[in-house]
Amino acid sequence: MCHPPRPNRRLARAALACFAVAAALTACEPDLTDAAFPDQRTDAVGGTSDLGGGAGDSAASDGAAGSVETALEGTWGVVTDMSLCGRLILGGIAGTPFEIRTFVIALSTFEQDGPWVRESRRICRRVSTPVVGFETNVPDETNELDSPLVATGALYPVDPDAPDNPVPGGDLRYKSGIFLEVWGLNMDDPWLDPLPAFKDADDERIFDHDGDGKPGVTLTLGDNDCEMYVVQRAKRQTDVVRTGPFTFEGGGMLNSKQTVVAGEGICGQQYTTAPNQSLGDENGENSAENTTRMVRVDPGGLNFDTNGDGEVSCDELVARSAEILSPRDANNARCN
Amino acid sequence: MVVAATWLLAVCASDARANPLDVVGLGSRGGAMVGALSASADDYTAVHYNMAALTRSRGSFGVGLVASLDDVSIHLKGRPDGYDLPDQGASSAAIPSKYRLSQRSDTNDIPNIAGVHIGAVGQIGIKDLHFGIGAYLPFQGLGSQRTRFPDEREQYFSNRLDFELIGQRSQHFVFIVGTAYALTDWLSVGAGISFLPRATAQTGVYLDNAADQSDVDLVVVNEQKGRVAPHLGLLLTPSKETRFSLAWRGANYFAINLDNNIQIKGFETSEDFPVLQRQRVVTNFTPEQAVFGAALERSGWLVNLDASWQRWSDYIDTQGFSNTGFDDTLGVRLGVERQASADTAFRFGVGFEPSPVPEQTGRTNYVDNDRVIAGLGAGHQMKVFGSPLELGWFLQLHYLRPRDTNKDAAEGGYPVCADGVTGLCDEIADDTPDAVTGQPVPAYQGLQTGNPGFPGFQSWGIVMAFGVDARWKF
Repeated sequence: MCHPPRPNRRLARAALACFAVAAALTACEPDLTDAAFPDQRTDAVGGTSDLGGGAGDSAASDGAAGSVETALEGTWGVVTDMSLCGRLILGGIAGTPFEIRTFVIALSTFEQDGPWVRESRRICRRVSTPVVGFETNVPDETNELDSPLVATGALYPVDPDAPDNPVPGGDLRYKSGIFLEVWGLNMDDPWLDPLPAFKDADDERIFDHDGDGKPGVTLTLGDNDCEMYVVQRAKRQTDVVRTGPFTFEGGGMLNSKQTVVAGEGICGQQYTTAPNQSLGDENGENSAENTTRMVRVDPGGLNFDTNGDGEVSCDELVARSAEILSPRDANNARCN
Repeated sequence: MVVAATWLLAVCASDARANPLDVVGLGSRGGAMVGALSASADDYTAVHYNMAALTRSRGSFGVGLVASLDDVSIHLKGRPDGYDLPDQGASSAAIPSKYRLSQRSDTNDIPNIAGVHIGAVGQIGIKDLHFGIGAYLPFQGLGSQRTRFPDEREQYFSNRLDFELIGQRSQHFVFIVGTAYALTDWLSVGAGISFLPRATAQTGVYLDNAADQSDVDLVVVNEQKGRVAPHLGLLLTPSKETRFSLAWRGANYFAINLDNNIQIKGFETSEDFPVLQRQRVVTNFTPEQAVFGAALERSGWLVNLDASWQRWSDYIDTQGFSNTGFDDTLGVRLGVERQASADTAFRFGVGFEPSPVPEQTGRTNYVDNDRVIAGLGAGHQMKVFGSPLELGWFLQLHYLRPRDTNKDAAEGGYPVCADGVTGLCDEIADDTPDAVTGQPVPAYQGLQTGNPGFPGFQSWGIVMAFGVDARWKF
């Protein structure tokens, strides 16, 4: 027998019904409206531009490439991205080794005498990858200390069967002499004499190279977090082949040792770099991680003379250096 | 009178903190009537709704369970192309977007409530003087705190958005104690305190090798303290059928103050030695609030209307930032109780709580919605040792009104993200030079932002709370 529900039960049922309806309604997703942000387009900088063909192209067949006698005429932008392994040594305890990539942008001119080539290289900018979060800043003024660097190398036809060609292909190979850079030291034999010991600012060979009243050369770490006063000896060599009318590509060698002779704060601790094990001995085998690109940048070549004064300055070269080569990321695993 | 005034003064002089039961309420009766009980609480739950209403109970004891389920969503709108932080290799000005530890994602869940509440009211010798105690203990533990950034910095952590005022904020225990005194037949006053923990932690760090930060020497000093907040109440009973109430609760939050004192070998001669890091974490913020209530009781019906003002303009977010731009709110709640028979009462209620969070068209992404609240429940009485024992239950539905947020596009460029910037901001300044060439970088032009709330988001959903309890009046 069915009785009509009592008022109190009707009240309860109505309330439950309201709950059910409310729950069902709220399961609905609201309509989507669009935000007022259209796609944004920027031309990202990175990598290298194609400045005269890849490594596999033969420049010899290009009449603009020039003969051996004229191959290195004019002004060239030389950009190197070299690898070093380093250790931050604190309190006499060596920390985990890490890779430092040293990126150098330079302007070079050449004097050819038969197969011999005398290169004058002016350093425009040096950039190092950060070490344990700190970036070593080398003031551009420091580049003037030892510019131009001069070394005599050789330019000769590529031997396709040679085991040490820096890149495949190409028609001419240029192997520079070894550029020696010494900061803050007067040495009898700058090639072989040992560097001063850690914190040995009293070594009589040390002088104030940059004229700031501090021994050696002053570098800053991070955002002016601290100063360190260093001496350094670096040996560089370029080994490239011509891959386009105005382009040489390849690698090179870098052997560098830097010693902190004094400093402020944490910079007073020793910070040394040792040769990258993959580089071999000091006379230099190419490291697979090292990259060099040379591009003729005067008006006779790709013309980086932005202001039209007939010469390419460091500022003009640096501004367009990404068209030649961009730095790579450091990879600490290479140094384990 | 003198005793009551002394209590009031003593409590007013204490530190200001309160409790977080505002979301669901305390007890099945309050749950069903959506918390509209400031003039009608008649047991230990008065410690939460209105301390003065303790005088309506000669003695009671109660225990109950409460839990919640949810179906909530924060949907992040699709990002247009070209706004990511670009990968410029070793010279990138910021960690590129593709290296985020967590992918930008929607939010489809909030921490659920699950816990037990317990309380009692009694008298100790003095006529018209009543003592009450109430506590809520979440099953997850005594507390759960999680901090987050309300802006682009959260991309490096969860990389999503969270509801600011529901969910995590309710995950902690509550302890309230108070007294009430019936000054006359028509006027009662009450005062009490709620308790919430706070902590201070000081760490001393010695770093011998800056190149190996996995090896540090560390000492910790951790102090756990409690802070109390006042609850004050007033209850007017001009007739048997009408009551008016005024309750005030102070602001409250769980705070952790962290001080790190770091010594790094090699920096000992630096002006910055030792490095001092200070951080303040604030969670479970409950604002100062005042509740005005009126109740009418006639022919087996009880109608209670509460209007609640909450000072959200004082809100402190989890990073300790207090200038959030929140608005004060005025919410209303209506509760009805129908005594259907001698042993059964039905209850229901509706309420509206406006969101204090303004439109998030700029840098921040505080997510909150207006809430429409509906409640339903009943109580069934039986006699135990000659005194009534009520078994009660309730269901409560919080409807989060859908909210659609779009960030404002700026004309003439975006400010660079920095302290004090409130608009949508650029994480890489347009004039940031390339580390190698010193030249402007095309990829840095325009707006680069990893703000998870960019270009907009939507939030909506429901939260369903339910519970049972047993209340014994003696």
